[in-house]
Amino acid sequence: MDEIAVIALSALTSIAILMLASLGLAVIFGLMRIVNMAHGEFLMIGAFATTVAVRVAEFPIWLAILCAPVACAVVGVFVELAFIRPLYGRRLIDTLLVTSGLSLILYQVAINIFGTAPPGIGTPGGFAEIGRYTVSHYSLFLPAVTVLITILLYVLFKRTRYGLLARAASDNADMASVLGVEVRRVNLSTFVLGSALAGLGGGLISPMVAVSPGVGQSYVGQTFMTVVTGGPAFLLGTLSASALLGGIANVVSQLTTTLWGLTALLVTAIVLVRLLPRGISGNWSRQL
Amino acid sequence: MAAPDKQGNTVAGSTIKTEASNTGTSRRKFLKSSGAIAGTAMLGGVSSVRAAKGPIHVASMFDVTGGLSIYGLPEMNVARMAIAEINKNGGVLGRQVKLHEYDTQSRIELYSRYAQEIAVNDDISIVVGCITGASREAARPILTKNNKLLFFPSVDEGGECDKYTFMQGSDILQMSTPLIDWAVKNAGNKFYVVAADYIYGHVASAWNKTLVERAGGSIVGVEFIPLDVSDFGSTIRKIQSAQPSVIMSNLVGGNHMAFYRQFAAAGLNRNIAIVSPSFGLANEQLVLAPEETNGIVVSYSYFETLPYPENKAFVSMYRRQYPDAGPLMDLPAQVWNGWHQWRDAVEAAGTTEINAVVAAMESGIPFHGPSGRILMDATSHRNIQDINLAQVNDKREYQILDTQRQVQPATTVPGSESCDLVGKDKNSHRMILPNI
Repeated sequence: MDEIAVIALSALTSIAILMLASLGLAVIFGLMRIVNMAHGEFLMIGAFATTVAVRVAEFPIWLAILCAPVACAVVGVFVELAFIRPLYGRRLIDTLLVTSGLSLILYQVAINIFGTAPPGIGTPGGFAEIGRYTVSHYSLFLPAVTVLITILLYVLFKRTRYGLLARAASDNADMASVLGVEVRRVNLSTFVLGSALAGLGGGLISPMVAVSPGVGQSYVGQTFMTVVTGGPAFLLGTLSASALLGGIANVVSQLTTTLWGLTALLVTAIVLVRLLPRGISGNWSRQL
Repeated sequence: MAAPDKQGNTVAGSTIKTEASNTGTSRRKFLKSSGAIAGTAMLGGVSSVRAAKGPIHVASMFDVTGGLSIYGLPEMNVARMAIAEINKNGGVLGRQVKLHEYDTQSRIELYSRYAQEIAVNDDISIVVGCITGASREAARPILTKNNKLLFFPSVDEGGECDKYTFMQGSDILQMSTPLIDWAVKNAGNKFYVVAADYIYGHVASAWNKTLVERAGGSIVGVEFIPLDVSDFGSTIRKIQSAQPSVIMSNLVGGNHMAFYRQFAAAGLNRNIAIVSPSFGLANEQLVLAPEETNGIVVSYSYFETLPYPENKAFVSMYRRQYPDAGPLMDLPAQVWNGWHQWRDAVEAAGTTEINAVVAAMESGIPFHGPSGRILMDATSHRNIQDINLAQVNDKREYQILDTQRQVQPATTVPGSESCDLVGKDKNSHRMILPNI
């Protein structure tokens, strides 16, 4: 019994990590259709913002995690104005090239600033006992905060004026523009929101992993797969895809080995995209 | 007598008179005395004659950029420092040494490409470089086929059997034996092995099985982790199910550092010890928090805290030249050893001609470096060296528990063949793959 509970909790943590790592990409790629190859570096910036806030500024960890989206938002403003703005409406490959280059630059800048073995921070909180097992409090906290963030985003896009305009601008930029929406400003806000979410994801994951300049790169492949598998409903679709892929990967790892878990994630994504080319949410009536 | 080896290269085995150089006599005398003239001499010596007046050209191949730069940057730093120090002390054979730096950018294909470039460069006679076994195997066949020496300064799984390749790093047998003996004595005899899912991890785990049995322990679980995994939730649960007393960690790289963090966060470090022959190579003890690494036991030939005067000088020189570069670990120290062993061998041979240098290396010239005394073992082309057992303390430092003097390297590969580079393999340029 305790074993099943621990496996379930561990699967929830894996799902939460996948969702947190994918959120920023879900907004930037899922909503805006910009292929952001620098997504891993945005996660990395968020993670470093958190560790630096704890180690240098000596912030409490919770405050430090909130520094991550702020730092990434600042980077996001600059990136959008300098690189992304001229590329709206151009081919997908243009944004892919620009953001790949950006990814290389940000990675090397991180090495130059932080070096190759930057001091990190430990996982906050203790651990809980479940029968014969122990699980860290933080791994239980991640699923809860993921649900909270998803609800807040849902409300933001569904109930606020900005949410309406953002969806309009991405749906049909010309029509939105004709109706008086200042598309450029809305796009800037959405890109910055996506960057901030990536930063928040990186910040939340940072106490679970070792933060080095390459920390984000191992997530990029999985997050793209999650967002693509999720389909057009960029929020709940991505959540469903995270639950499916993360859950399958974890449970298969538990029953067999980590390699098979990773394989199961890839196979599931391939099969899903083959059967549902538009993603899990392709036939949904909702857009979020 | 020409014997095709596994790569299909034909290696001339008969003695061929090499072109006379200005140091020919002493070289011939040396070869005779070491008894290595038969079977090893090949066409060579051209480069040493051609460039006799100018500097001696040498090369390094390290990943100074990209994911492996955590290892490559400190190794490159020490390579520059070693060459500068050798030049300051009069160079080699009275000539200055010029280092050609190749940044392989953490890309395997660049190892092949730069090895090709070096292979057609008549001036360069030796490379001290490569970081992973995969990169070494990309470069080694190209280099040694073209009569270039390769010194490999990394900790590795063993199995190289190449007349023109010398390993400075310690092998799994040298490092894991003291770790397992320590664990059985101090922590318990039920082992759980976690290992990186590539050749190093698999060979290390095969060795662990043999060594744990020999020490009277048992293995209650083995798990291989792909290199891009950083979520260890399922592994942690399985470890708790198996209830081992010791974790033997053969994990590698930045993503795997998360294991130690998640292991500690779940409270497992209270009653399960961790021993590892790979922890610390990338300065894991700095990236992780002290409470997560406190108590982990590792074994390397080199630690910054070793008390030898050679080490004190080495560390202070490094700090002066690279004040922000972080602590020194085994790999960069072995780069230092590699360049100095090469210098001593060339001085003894009186030439950079490859077979003379190989014979001088095999003759076993002891070198006292930062890690103490090292001596090349002719059979395996690996160093006989001290191995230190050390424990991470709560200040992110290593405390040396025990020093084993002059530990012999492995000459066999688990479940596979043995290598004897002065006997049956004296013309080999191959890699023995483990049978696991």
